[in-house]
Amino acid sequence: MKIDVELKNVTKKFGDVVAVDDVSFSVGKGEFFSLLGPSGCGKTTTLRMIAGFEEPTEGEVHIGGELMTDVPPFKRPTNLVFQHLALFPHLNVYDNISFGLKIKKLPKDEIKRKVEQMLNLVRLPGYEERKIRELSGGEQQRIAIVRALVNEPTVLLLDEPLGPLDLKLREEMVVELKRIQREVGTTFIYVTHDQGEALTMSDRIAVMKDGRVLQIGTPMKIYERPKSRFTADFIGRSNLFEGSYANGVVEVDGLGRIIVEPEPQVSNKRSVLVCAKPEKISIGRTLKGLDNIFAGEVKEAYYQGLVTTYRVLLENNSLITVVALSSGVKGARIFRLGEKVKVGWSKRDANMII
Amino acid sequence: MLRGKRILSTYFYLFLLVIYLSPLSLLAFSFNNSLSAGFPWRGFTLRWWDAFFSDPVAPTTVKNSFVLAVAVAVVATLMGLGLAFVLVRRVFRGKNVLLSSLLVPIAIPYLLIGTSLFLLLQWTLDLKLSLFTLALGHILVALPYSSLVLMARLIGFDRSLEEAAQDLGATGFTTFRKITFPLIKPGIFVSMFLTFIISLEDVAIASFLAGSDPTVPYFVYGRLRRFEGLPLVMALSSFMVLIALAFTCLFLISAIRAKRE
Amino acid sequence: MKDDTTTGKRVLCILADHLRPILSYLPPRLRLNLKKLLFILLEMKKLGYYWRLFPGVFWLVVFLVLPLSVMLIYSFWTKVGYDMIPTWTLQNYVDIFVGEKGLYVRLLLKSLGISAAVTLGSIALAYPVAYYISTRGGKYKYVLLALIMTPYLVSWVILILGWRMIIGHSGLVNTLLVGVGLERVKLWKTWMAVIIVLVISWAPWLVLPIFVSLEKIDRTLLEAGADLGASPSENFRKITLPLSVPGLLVATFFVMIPTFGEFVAPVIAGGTSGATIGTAIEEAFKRMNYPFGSAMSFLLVGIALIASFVLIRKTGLRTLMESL
Repeated sequence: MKIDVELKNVTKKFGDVVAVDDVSFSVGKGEFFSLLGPSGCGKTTTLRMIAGFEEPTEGEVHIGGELMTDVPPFKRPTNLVFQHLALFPHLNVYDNISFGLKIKKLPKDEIKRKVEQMLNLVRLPGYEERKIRELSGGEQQRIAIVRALVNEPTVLLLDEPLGPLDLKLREEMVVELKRIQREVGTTFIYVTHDQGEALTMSDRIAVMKDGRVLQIGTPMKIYERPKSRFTADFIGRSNLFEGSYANGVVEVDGLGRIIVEPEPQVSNKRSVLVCAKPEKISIGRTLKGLDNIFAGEVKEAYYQGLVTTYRVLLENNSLITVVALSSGVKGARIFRLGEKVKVGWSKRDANMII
Repeated sequence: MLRGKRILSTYFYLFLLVIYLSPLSLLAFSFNNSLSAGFPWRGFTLRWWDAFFSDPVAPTTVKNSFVLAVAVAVVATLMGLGLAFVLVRRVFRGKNVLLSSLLVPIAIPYLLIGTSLFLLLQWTLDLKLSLFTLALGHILVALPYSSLVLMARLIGFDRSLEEAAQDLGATGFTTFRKITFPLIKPGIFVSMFLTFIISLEDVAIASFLAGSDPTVPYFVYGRLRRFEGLPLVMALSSFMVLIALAFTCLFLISAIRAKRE
Repeated sequence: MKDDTTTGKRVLCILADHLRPILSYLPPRLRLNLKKLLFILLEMKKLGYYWRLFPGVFWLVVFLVLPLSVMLIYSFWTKVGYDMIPTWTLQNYVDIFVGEKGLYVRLLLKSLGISAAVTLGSIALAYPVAYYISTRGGKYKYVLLALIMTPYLVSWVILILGWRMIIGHSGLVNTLLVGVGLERVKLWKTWMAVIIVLVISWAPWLVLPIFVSLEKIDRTLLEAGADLGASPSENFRKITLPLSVPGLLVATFFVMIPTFGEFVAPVIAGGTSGATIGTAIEEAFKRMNYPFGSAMSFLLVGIALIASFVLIRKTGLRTLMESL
């Protein structure tokens, strides 16, 4: 696959503060790539270095195969959708979208055609004359996106564009973005702190914390097989058990032995984390046929319609989260507070974090 | 509490009445056929207005004042713009010194600005005092106001708009032309308006630096001091009052029209 | 932030590039000087953005710092005939305090007194107006403000002439009094007239900063006060008033210092009893006694700067800017 964006050992320092620490990754053509992480993890700074608003202190940024050091933003083949949209308030929709095209001095009728095309793409036909302040939040969002997209950049950069929208709108826009990306085929680099968005839309995700990239992978890989405690905590919910590994078994204080998939390269007696996702853990009065079964007591139960979330107290006084269908599949029923239950999982349904 | 509210509004209208009392009575009594330039009313006449327009000096003072005010407004706003951009967007050594020096002209009474510039320009450099020398002084006192106004507008300016323009391909100057400038236009208007007024109504500095080209306030001041030719001065004053009222009406009309949109 | 004018940089680059080949054809001495020039040009290329400062800074230095320095220097010289000799003496400053049975000291104190009175008076007059517009103006707020500011388009000297017609000897007030059968009141050509005129001249100008700081007060704070049991007047005293203090300080700054040096209104409205330190300074300059005038001026400059410094420290630059 052709590589559109490549970062090689990029570091960014602001005085003594290291915002981005030795980050490397590459994004393929047509990929929807996300930078995911909490506030202050350096994802926006990384994006701005790709866009050209910051220069890396060390390292190189390549776009479309070319080195981009000291290339100003208006010369880069990228376009950025700003966090607060930055739509020009004194220009109408048409002038906003055509801004970049006019600078490139394209002929008038071609500009008109392209703007129309873009407005149709986001299902806002005929909006050319409208003023920015007359638009709703979702409409403004879409105008900001096509203002960038109409310039046919090699890479479209999006900086937490869905932040200020309410929940329903956000869900709609997530679907819209994915559809647009697929239709147009442009490479997208998307920055967000919302793991739901990242998991839904991305082809690959880079999880960032404190300026470093912790893990890069497909949404499924990141979710099912987190490689660090942070990632496990950040993406969905995880139950983490700390213990020492020896030959396919992890010894956890006060709880006993957890059977895991053996990892030959992990040395014995090494301290590891076992990560078990709530939906992978079975819950019942009695359980059979699972590698790991533990006894516990239901401390909290939240009925959520389709599923019920339980907090179960184990023998070593730790609480784990279990999510189970409320009814339907064999054995499924709602367990009450104080009930003594068994929880368990097979070894392949858990993940070891080294 | 209603009584309190009524007291307040009565006070407000009283206040308006008081501040308009002077200009309006000037206007009214400029038609008074009396040499005493005041009460009592002795009949309607246009002779003072006639005297004003046919006087060799008086009408030129009006022209001087306006030409000067426009020039001062433009120059002070331009310089203030340059200062404002750098002061808001850059940090550099001596920034605080510059900022403090910028405030000094506001902090010093006009009298002293007038005297010090007089000493420098006339006594030391032997320049001839004229509208030009007066402009130099006016621009000095106007500069802090234009800078502060523009700085206030720039501080709240959304930089991401400029970044967006750059991202879309606009170079520095194009960004300024298409995005920054249109959005700070209100600030520029306020700055020009403010500096225009500062120049127009100054009398202290003018009395030192105007020399052979008197401005309206200076002319009026001189006549008032020597207590001569007052009715003509009344006509002149009323003329200025009319201009001021015209300005305000224009402004109000455009404001009401803007509100309608 | 890459917003330097690349066009400007490009021009300098082209200049530099073109000069370089020419260098080799020139004699060595010239070459060295041009190399220096090139270096300066290239350095200035880096400064790029800061060019915008130059006109303003130039103006401040040449027309503010320089004249004040000149005045300071002259204040140490002595007047002889029509000229001045650099005697470098403190005599002028001494004369201020000693001369003419302490006249000048009295004038100075009088000016300070007038300043204080005018400041208090005009702020007191302006505050309710600003309050009214802020709370009851509704959508006409700016219209009302404009209405108040209109008389300023007419120079305030002219307005003084108008006031002469109202409180003068045969003015409106006296005409009314006579008409009712009372005695004429001598208001004009007294120091009271000076204060009245100045207060009314300044009050509208002060409405603006007070208005701005009143506007910024979060209305929900007053709602919270009411919810907690405060009556409207308590709300005003305990919440609104304290929060509007920054605006009051700015207003003070705008009024107090200029009125130190007042010499126009005192003469016209006050006559002989309207002498102030400002009139004394003007007088000195008229009589070409520049050293003495400079000394008095500089003393006033010192007082003004100190007062400003104190006030600005208290309010901060931000409030000042917002008032404009």
